[in-house]
Amino acid sequence: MALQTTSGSSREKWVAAFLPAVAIILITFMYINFSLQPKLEKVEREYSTAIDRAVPTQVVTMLEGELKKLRNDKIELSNTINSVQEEIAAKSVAFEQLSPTAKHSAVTALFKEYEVAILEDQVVKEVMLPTLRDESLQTLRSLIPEEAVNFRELTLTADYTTIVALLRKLPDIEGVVPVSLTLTKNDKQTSKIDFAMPKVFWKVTLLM
Amino acid sequence: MAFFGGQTSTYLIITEKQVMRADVRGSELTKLTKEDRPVGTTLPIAVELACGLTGKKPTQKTYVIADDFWTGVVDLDERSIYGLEGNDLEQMLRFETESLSNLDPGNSRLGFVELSSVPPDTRRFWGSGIPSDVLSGVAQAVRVRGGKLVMLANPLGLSSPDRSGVPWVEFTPELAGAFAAPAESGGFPRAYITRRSTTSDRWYDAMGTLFGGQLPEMGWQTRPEDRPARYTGSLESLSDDLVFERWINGLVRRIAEPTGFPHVVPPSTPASSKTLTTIGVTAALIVALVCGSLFWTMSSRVTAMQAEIDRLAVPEAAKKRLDDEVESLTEELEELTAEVAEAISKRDSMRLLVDRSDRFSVLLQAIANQSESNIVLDSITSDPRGIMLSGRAIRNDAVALLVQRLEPVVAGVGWSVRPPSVSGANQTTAGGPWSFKIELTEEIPSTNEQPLGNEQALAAFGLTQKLSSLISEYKGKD
Repeated sequence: MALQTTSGSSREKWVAAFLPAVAIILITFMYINFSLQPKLEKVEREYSTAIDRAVPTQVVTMLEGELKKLRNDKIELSNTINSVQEEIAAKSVAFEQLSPTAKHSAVTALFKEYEVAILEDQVVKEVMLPTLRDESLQTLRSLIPEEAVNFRELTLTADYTTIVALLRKLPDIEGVVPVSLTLTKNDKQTSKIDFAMPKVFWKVTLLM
Repeated sequence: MAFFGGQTSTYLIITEKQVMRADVRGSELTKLTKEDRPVGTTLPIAVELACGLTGKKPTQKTYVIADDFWTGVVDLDERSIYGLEGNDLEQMLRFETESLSNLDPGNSRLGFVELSSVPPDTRRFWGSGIPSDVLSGVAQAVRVRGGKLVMLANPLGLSSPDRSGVPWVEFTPELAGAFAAPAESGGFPRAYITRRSTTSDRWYDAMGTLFGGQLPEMGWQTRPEDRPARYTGSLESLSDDLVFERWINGLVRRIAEPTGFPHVVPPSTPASSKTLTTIGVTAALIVALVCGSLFWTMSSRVTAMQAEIDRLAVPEAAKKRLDDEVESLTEELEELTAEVAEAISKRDSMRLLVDRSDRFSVLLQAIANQSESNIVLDSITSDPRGIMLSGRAIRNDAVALLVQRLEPVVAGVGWSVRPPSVSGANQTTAGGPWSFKIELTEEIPSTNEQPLGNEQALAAFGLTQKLSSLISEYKGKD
């Protein structure tokens, strides 16, 4: 049976005339409804969020200034650390420049130079130091090898002036630091007042 | 023009002898042009001639009033048309009037109105008929000239000579009619039309009888010689221009409300393919334009918002990056601050141990430098807090003087002098000699005289404090 596709009626012709317009409307409606509108809604949501989260330029400028200041502070701090560590290294390395034997020889030579009699020269393991000095000693021990930290206790007899001069000179030897000094009178000293220089013993403890 | 005084309309009046064109604005006749009708011209040609009389296009409301086609009254038995109306009734009337109009019922158009019925069982109709091809020709002629045909009517019975609606008669060379508009309360109009005869007056008698007994006392006549001899009323002749103009005015008023007289409305002409194509393309273009505008507007909005989002994202990203950097740097600075504090602590410890290592010499020198020679130093001993000086003095105040002199000197090398302990042996008249003990406790050397007060280190320490406050402030703000 032949398929009748058109009746040729006036109504059909008008429908045919407006068909392209209707098709355009339909396509546009579908495109807008299924593509553009969801996209628009999505972008509107993003836009709303972006507006809510908008950052003023002044905030960025302020942060940049703050960052610059922090960077400068970091450089300043790094320089300070370097400077301090250099000083620490310089101070601690003095204890390692000379060997214990060389330091001992230098001390002995100094005593000889000042004609100080060494009655006793003992190595001591530990020395009782005031708390502040003891903390400093622990710091030194943390910086240099243990074998570089030694104590010697020297019992001397010499006149007061010589001892003063000797104690001033001792630190000139690299890595030698007097950490303790005791003065002990001769036990045979009487209780009677005697302004003549009594015989005394000096005990000097050296960190070397 | 259509903008002032109401709509314009064109009346093309075609008579046997003349073609006329009346241009009307609202209900006022603005121009009347007439010309003789060439002998033998058909109605469509006469209409086209009338259209072209003024050189202007006829309006979209063009009425053709022509006596070329049949008009008449027909009586029908009510039972023969019982239940018929609309197209069925028209079709029936076409067949019933065929013998009167000589029109092919299948190929003609008939306009009709129902008149007052004739008792006891007759219905009366007033109709006007025209062959379909003539009607199409007339419509085509008007359309070709740029106008649009609204209706086609026979002039007989259209115009009342009296505006109050009093019945009237009309006499043309061939026809005679009597008319009465319907009462204001409604109902059907009355009318009767008959063909005149030159051989007898029976038509006149019949007209009077069939109209309702007595003919109206006023009316129109086409020419003065059209007046029937027996008619005694007042007739105005349309050959008089003023009368004709008044007739046209009446016609215009009547047609303004096209009820109560028969007229033929032309069939709506199907639009041509070209017109349809033009309309379709125009509609498609307009729709495309509107849709395109809508699409463009929405796309522009999306694009604009996207651009704004991108613009707003720049400082946001910059802030995030800067926040991250500040946070990272703040953490680094915290670590560095701790490192600085630790390093300075170590450095201070080292300074305490290494710097001024001649401090015992300084102490002994200070004791030796005291001007009083009445003090003897017996011992120096160490204790956990510092060192203890023990000795003897001949004078009681010598110990105090020694302490006063020692204090500023040893402060610079890390000792603080405690008040002395003095006890007398009571061997002299003053109670002396006195033995004393002076305790020197360890302390951080005073900054004035000690190298520990390194300016850089102190500045660094101050910096760490400043940084700590800055970091706290930043974290608090975050």
